[in-house]
Amino acid sequence: MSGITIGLAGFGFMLVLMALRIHIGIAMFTAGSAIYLVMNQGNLNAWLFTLNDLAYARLSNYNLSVIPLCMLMGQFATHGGLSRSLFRAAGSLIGHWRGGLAMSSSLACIGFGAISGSSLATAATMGQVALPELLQKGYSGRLATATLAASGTLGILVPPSVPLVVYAVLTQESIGKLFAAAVIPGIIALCGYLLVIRIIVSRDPDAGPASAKASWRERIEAQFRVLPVVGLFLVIVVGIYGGWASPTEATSIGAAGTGLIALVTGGLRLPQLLTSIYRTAIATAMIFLVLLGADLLNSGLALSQLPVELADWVKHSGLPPLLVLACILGIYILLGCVMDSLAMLFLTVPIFYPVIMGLDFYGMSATDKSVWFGILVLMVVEIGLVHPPVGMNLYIINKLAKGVPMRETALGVMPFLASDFARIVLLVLFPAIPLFLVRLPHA
Amino acid sequence: AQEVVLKIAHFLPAGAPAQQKVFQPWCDTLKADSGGRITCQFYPAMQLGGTPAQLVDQVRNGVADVVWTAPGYSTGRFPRIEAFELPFVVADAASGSRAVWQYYKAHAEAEFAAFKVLAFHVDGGQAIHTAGRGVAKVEDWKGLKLRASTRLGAKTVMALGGAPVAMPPSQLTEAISKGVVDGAMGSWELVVPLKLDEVTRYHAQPRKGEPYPSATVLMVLMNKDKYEKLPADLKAIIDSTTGLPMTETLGAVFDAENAHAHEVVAASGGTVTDFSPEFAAAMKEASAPVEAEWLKTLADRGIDGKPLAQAARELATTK
Amino acid sequence: MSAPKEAGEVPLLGHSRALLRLSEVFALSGGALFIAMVGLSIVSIVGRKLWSAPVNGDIELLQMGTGIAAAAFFPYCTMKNEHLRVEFFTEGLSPRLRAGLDALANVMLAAAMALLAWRSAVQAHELHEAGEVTVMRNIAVWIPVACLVPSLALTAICSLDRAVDCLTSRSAAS
Ligand code: NA
Ligand code: NA
Repeated sequence: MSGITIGLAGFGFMLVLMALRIHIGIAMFTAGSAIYLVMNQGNLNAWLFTLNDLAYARLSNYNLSVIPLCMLMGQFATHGGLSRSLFRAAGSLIGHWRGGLAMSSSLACIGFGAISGSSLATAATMGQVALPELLQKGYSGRLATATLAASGTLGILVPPSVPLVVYAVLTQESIGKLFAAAVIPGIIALCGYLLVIRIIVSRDPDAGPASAKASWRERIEAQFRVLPVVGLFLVIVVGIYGGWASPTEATSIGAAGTGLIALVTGGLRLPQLLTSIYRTAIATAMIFLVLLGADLLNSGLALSQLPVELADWVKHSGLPPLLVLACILGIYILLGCVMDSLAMLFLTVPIFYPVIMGLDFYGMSATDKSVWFGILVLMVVEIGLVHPPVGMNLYIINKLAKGVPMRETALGVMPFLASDFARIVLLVLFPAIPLFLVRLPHA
Repeated sequence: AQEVVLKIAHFLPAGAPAQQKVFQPWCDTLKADSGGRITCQFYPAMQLGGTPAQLVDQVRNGVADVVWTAPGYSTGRFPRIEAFELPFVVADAASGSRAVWQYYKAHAEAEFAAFKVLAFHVDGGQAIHTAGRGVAKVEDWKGLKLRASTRLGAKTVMALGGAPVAMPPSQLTEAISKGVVDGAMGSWELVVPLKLDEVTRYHAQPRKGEPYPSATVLMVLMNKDKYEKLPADLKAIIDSTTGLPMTETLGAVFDAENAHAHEVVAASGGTVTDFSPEFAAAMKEASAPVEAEWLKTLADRGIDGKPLAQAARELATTK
Repeated sequence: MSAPKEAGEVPLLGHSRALLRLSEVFALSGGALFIAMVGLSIVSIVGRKLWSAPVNGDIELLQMGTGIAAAAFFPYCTMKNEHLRVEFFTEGLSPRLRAGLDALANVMLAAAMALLAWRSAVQAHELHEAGEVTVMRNIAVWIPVACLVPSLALTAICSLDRAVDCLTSRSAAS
């Protein structure tokens, strides 16, 4: 049996294990072990010694410490009431428009996303704050839940972003560059969602009735309450892009800052601190278990030479690069139907990345190409969070809205998904959009 | 005939000069000389998993058959060979590499008993590459934030009055351009792949033939068992193409890369200055505690370091 | 992937409760370590900016801390059944069959974790023998590696407990 055959067989074995409810990380671990053993003709030594440093080498990665720090920051921000302040601030300005409160929740999501690296945390937090109010003000269940499920993804579309950290770790790309590249696409995503809400309420005015207009005094007070978020965001952004802090350090400052705000506002007492740590522990451990499995799987696949051969084959196949890219993005969207976003990243990036890097796109340099592909992957991964049947954000939001059937939420996100697809096409055709901020410091 | 596949792992991308100009040609020779019985598979950029520090374990345990790595990645594990990373020992890659090979044969074989050692070499010495201001006198060192890549390199920066910062090479260029660090103490051969010429303007180095403030030792190791199990004729092919011959090739390739880096820096308008004799002497004096501390570390492990340091210096100055 | 579950929806047996408490202690210790690292980062960045004096070896300290703390999070996540899975293809199966598969999954998780605990212990032993230390602070590398072992071993025990739990009718029915 050739290495390629062994690699492919191992990959298939892993998919079967996954379909049979084996934990994703353990399915990867098992398949990786199998490939290792077969490649070494059953000799246990190489496999056992690879396991020697697997746990420590992987878990003690400096860049990965951004992930738990991000989670902790999001938890503190929630307890500090920052999510409510954001929603109020936006609502006081545009709540009196038709659909204005839905738009406010999108705006609040992008604000919360600026201090949260997770889509689920953003959706859950903003859902708890905004959903009751939207429903009480007469918004249709469909529009309210769909807006929040889609806007929750702004949590990863604007930096900090856990999927981008994972991509950076897998490809040895700079987290700073990836974060910078995500900013403009994230703002485009927000504009897309606002436009979708606007179109929906213009066709069905009852879906998003206007609320009472806030007084100027209320408006100004509401804006003052979001100053801490703005301050923290500036610290993180200026810290990372300005270069005086690594992503880990900037997130540390963000976590300390949100923690302090939550302490001062009284939202963070011992019970909330414990809850924050427990939630951080769960979110971190579920990512890191997949990481451990993926590491062994990827070593096994490298040993089988499958990724190298695949990249080589695609390069010499004469297929148009954009067609290859379209196929890869399509595979992501299909996988997103059944699999968790991060697990999907761990599984596919080591295979698809060499393929993309071996092809020529618009004559881009290697760094530009790898950052651009990172943003595209982020976009398709994000879609997996909102499209049925297994979009995590749909579940989270729908669960919060008692009385709104899942079907309504699923139908409601369709126009938002359309805007997602339009954005992906835009970014595929114009790499300069994400790369603009990356290139800026060198201009 | 028995077919042998050598799995070669290292920490740099596939395009690195060490793979393209040393190991790939070596593999071509092995293949030709053995009539196709030996072939190689490359696993660059840590494709077999783990971090660079684990390459020595990967080859010892047979995860890989051959690795190219630095003993300094596993700090404390190979204390004797570290003598060549002491301040002001190595002057260039060719003479330094030959010296470290001879030193290994004479003084450090025991440290590497678990491996089949194929070659030792040095990077040619670490110059000081800075963005904002040059370094021409001891006072210039004060508060200078420099990326250092080895333990003794970091200690040397500290002894000279600077602040050493550890970071992966992939982050270095960005860190310099944004002012996180003022520059790097690093070998010339890093300048081109990391694009240091674009972010640093000042490059300070010793005068030709004089030793550099620091250096990195590198080595090529083979799994001992894999070697022992080879038939005698294949063993002979490995033996005749490694050891001093491979060491000299590595030294020559690194010197050529270092010379190329000088050209790139000159072409992009960078300033290269040689240490004045007074500056070099002042730095040697200021960095003396580094050697004293190294001797103490070795003494704690029951090793007399004095003759080792002396042997390293003598071998390195023999042309 | 599993939809979010309500915590503690099924009362735990005595020994499971004890394991949950122990895993909580591990998670909280890991959390405390992370919070300490937040402090270390801030001290280091302020020192670097204001006095050109970062905390010596800040990166290697952070790396060790991340490794130890992340491993300490595993047992709690395991006790809460929160590890990522694909549930899509087995939604149509009978609850009994699904519980059986879940038990198998947990046994495999336990095996992998036990294996990693064993190999990490071997690695710690070898690093101890080799005398390997960190670059900046000369900290013996075997210590953080050894710190992973209790967390990994506890995770193995917790997942075995979860496997047993899957096979009891109370959980299978939920
Ligand atoms: Na974010
Ligand atoms: Na999904």
